[in-house]
Amino acid sequence: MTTTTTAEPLLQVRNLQKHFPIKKSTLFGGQKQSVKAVDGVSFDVYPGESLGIVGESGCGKSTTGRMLLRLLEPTGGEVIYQGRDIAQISAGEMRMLRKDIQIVFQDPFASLNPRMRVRQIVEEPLMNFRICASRKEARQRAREILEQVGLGENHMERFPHEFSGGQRQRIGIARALASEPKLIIADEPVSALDVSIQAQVLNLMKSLQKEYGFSFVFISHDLSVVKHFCDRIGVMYLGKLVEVAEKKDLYAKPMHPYAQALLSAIPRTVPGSTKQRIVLQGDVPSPANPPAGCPFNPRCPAAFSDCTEIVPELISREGRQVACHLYPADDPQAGQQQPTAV
Amino acid sequence: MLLSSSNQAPTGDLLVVENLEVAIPEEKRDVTIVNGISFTVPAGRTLGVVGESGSGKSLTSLTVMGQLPKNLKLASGSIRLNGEELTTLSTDRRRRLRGKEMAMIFQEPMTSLNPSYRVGAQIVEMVRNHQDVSRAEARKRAIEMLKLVGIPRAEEVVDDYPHQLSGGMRQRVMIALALANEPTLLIADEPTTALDVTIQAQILELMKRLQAELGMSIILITHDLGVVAETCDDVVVMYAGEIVERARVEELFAEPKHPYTRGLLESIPDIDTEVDVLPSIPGTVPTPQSMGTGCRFASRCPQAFDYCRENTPPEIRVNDTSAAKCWLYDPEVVAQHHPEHTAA
Repeated sequence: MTTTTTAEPLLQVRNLQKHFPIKKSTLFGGQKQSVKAVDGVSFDVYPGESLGIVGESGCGKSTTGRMLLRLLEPTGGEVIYQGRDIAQISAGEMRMLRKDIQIVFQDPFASLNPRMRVRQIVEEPLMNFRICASRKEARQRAREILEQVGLGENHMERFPHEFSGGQRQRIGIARALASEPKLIIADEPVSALDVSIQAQVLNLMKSLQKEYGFSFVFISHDLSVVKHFCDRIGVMYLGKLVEVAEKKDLYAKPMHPYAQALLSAIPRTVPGSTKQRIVLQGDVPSPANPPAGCPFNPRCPAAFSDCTEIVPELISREGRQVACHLYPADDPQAGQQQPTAV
Repeated sequence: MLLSSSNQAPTGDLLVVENLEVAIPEEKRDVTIVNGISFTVPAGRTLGVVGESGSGKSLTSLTVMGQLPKNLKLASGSIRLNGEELTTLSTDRRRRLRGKEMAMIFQEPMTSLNPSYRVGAQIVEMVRNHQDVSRAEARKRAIEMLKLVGIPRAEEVVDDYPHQLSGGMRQRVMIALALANEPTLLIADEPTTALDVTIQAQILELMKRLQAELGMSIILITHDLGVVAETCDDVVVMYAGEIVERARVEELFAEPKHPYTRGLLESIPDIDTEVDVLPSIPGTVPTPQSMGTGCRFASRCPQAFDYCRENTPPEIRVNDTSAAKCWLYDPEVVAQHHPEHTAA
């Protein structure tokens, strides 16, 4: 599936923020500080596409995913779905909206109610969102959905603990599927699974998407999985999107220095094939005290004076968006040379 | 010397593991969970042990270290380090070997470092347990080690508590701790699994550099075939408590022999190629209780034939540097029992 750029976006995210307040008490009383977990993220999700969000731990990718369903309340910005700002609507309206936007979590051990039978787990959304008029109808529909994710009649009356990790993730997918959503947020859906099982689950999600045409926001730290699964990819670093591009563009030629380092760091399965790896120095700075200017500047091999002072905007360039001072505004003359410092 | 056979000269092989068997003692009958593991680690080389969860790879390494959980027992087997048999050693001698001759690093550094001691104190303790040096000398050594593993401001970090460090830094401290007494064998159990890729790249690079400098042997236990491809010389692949394939690293990736290895390699999305549907291995790993006769992979194997389901395959040598536990490499069995031949 490729992106239909002419289509209306299904979901528009504008300048989304999540700042968690932290207390820092000093001798002279507290000074207000906050962890900027997500700090101004904007992107669109188109119907039927899979948008990948990649980044390392603590970059804010899961926080972003949760805010799209308001499992976490945004502290700023907009999430526009069907002309309405999800961030502003009432809790009651939001609850009904979750029919359209569902989530699959990373840990299939923690995200299923241990006291509910598999059948009940899938029936619940069918009844809640009034998709099925009667219990009997819901039971029939639950059976069909479970069959689609590869679980049979004999599994329906069992409890989650009786299943393996891969099977539990299938149950989680069935539950998300039940409400006939238009968008599924998949937060590290295969990270807890062994590779042979991971492939089964990825294939299942893809074939279901083909059948029903919903969109995915696929959150992952695994760049190989994201490349296999997604159409477009956004790379996050320290609460900000640093590059958003079509998959083939990003993997062929990452532009942001962080995206370059991230891609070069993936171990290849062909011995001796890893060429000029960019090994980044140091660690990700704390989001409570991010560096001035570009968040990546302390570790960036290409940083220059502007980078420590001015926060780069995510701007369009060569058919993608990049937030980096190496690439000034989208004008045909602009090359890769560094702009002179102001 | 990848293939463990008795006619090979002992020189050069630092660690020789033969026919290791680990079991859960149960009233009626012991349940074997690691079954007949043999491998050797030559001096200065890196052996990768690959397998999915439950394959027995971590238990194998704990057995080598002599730190098997109390509810499990070593049913049989021999482990020789530099010719010295470890399985019959006294607890005291074993403890003295641990941390001196052999050391281990774990996946999660936060749970293996003591949270209530400064990192320096932990390294000092490790050094003074095995060497007769003064506290001041040991502290100097601790700072040296922290510098060696690439920790910036080592003189300050030596007085930090583990929680003050990031995940990557903690893993470096773990490595410093493990290498403090310059062991000849380092066992690294998923050393980079809890780390982000950019930090993983740093740690793998560091381990390679230290191996070159200190000349130790490494057993690297991992589920990540990418990490294996980058760091190992030889590889053994484990499935359901057994070694199903062993080979040189280049050969394993270029020409996997066992159908399980092949399936495993195919099911990883490759960053450099594009496929629509990922090949996957159907089904799941059998539980130790449910393993009957026959090849343990047979129920998931696309190439299995009736003979596989009834007879346990031995390890069959495919060539000088590789072997597979698979009937497909026994020409006699194939000729007599494979449907392609029996039908003709």
